[in-house]
This record gives sequence, C-alpha cells and structure tokens, in this order.
Amino acid sequence: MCGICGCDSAEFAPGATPQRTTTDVPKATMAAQTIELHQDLMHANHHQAEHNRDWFAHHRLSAINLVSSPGAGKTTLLEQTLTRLRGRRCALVIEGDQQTELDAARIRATGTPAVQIQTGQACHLDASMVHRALHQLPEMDGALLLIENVGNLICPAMFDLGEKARVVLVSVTEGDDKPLKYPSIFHHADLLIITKTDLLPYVQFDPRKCIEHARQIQPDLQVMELSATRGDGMTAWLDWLEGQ
Amino acid sequence: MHELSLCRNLCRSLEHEVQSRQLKQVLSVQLAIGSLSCVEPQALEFCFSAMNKPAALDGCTLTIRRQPGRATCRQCASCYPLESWLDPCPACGALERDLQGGDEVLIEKMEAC
Repeated sequence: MCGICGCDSAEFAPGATPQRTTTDVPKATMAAQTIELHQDLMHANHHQAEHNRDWFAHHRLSAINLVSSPGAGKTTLLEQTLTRLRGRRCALVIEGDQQTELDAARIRATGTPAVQIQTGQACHLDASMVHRALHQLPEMDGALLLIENVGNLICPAMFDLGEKARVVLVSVTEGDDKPLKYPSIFHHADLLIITKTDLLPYVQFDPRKCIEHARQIQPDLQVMELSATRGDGMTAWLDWLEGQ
Repeated sequence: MHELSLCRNLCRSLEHEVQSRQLKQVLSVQLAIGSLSCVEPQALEFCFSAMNKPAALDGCTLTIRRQPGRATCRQCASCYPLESWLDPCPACGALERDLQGGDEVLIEKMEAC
C-alpha cells in the first residue's frame, strides 16, 4: 500500500520499481528479437511542419505562431494589429481554441480572413491542423499569417507548426516568474511580448524581473512591452512584423 | 494531454514496423525522453496502459529511460549535463548556455517476434 495516501497503487509500495506499464494479456512465447529503432516520436509532426514551411515559402507567407496562457491578450493584440496593418500589409489568421468560433469572428470583424480550428480534446495546435486550415484560407501570396495557438504554456512548446517565428505573450496580470515556471515555451520563443502594460500601476508585476527570468532560459530572446488597448508600444511591434 | 497524442504516434510507428518487417507481436518498447522535453513519463505510461491498442501491441510493455539534457556554457565553454532548465553551469555558475539536446522523445528499441 502507498505510504503517502493509503491508496492501492503498486507504484508507491515500499521497494517498488516504477517505469513499467503493461496490459494484462500474456506475452507470446515465440523467439523474440530486439530491434534498434532510434525514431523521433515527433517525426510525423516535424514532417508536416516542413511541408507547411515549403507551402509558406512557395506563397511567400510569413507565419508567426503566438503562444501564451489563456487571457494574456493574444486576440486583442491581433485585432489591434490587423486594424493598424490595414492598407499596409495583407494578413491571414488561424485561430486555435478548444471550442467556439468566437475568436475567428472577432478577427473577421477587422476585415481579415480567418479560420477557426476547434481542437476538441487537444491542448495545442499541431502542424496537420494548421495544414488543414491553410486549405480553407484564400490564396494571398506575400501575406502575414498570424497563428493564434491554444492558450496554454506547456503543450504548444513541443509542436512546430512550420512557423518562421514564435512569439510568447505574458500579461502583467500574471506573475513575473512565469518564464521560470514554464521554461520550455520561453526557450523555443524568438520574441517575448509583455502585454497590458497600462495595468502596471495596479499590479505587482515587475517587467525587468520577467525579462531577466526569460533570458535565463533563452539568452537571445527579443523583448517588447505594449498595451494593445492604449496603443503604447504598438509601433515597435508593427515594425517587427514588417521585418518578418 | 499531449501524451495521448504521443501514444497514438507510438502505436502507429510500432504497427508500421511490425507490418514492414513481417512480425506478429511487439513484446516491449523502450523510449528515451529528454529531461527538458514537455513529456511527463507517468502521464505517458498511464495513456499507454489505458488506450485501445492494435492487436500487435497487446501485452506490450513500455519502458521509459530519462535522458538528461546537454549544455555548453557561454561563459566558460564547459559542457555539462542538464536535469532542469534552471541548473547553472557547475563550473562557473552562469546560466547562459547553448543546448545540445534534452528535449528529444525517441523510440529507442523494441522487442518483437
């Protein structure tokens, strides 16, 4: 019996050696052979991501993958970005959420074509979901393709979508220690955007500490601070996008 | 719960190996999971034991080997193993480094007949 909570789990029994999982069917008795494989379990996603990358290159699309926790302000940033980009650069948007078309509707209201991916039980977008969404978007060579990932700071880190750059958002209403708590997503990011800076007078968030923590994980990370609703810092962000 | 997606990939890969090598049954499989990957071994084990698997994987045992990351310090250039993102360089204490691995999720080998 488990010495911690009294459950029947064999894993926590004294002297137990975990790490092995099996179903109840008895093993076959034929002579077995050991076969070395050394295959990447993410191979299928990497392969699809490369295919997406080829598509983006062929159509001169600059694909940007935006990741953050839920509520960090990804959709608001996109709305404000698309409104300001009007007449400057064509854009397309792929929205990822577990349920609803709500975000795609907000994006379409700016006049930008958008496809909503509803992931159902999945907690991230993968390259094949993005591939299917690409077939639903109008052809627009040379456009900016903004992909808003599912709000989640863990799972999306593992899934290459074929993007050119990955942007991670942290809002000032979160903790400035987020990069230390969820390091993997920061390691895989090119740009950190600290959002909702208009709320800084009301919260305990220290942008300097957040940046310091993020650069402990990814020393080459670029950083921006902005308030999409008030417009502070938007010029630098639009210039960065222009360079992609 | 990306561990379930990974288990589906694992089953597809093993089934493909069984068919292409004209085998019947996979008895065991060993994975190597980098300590810096976003994969939780216990969640992976749970998904593998709970999911519906193809007949060729009935009774298949899953073993997971944790593999530390490897880093080169940007300050003193020493190479060191990395168990966590927050481990400093053991030689000089610096945190700035370049990673050479640790986020891999590999099917290392299988035992089959």
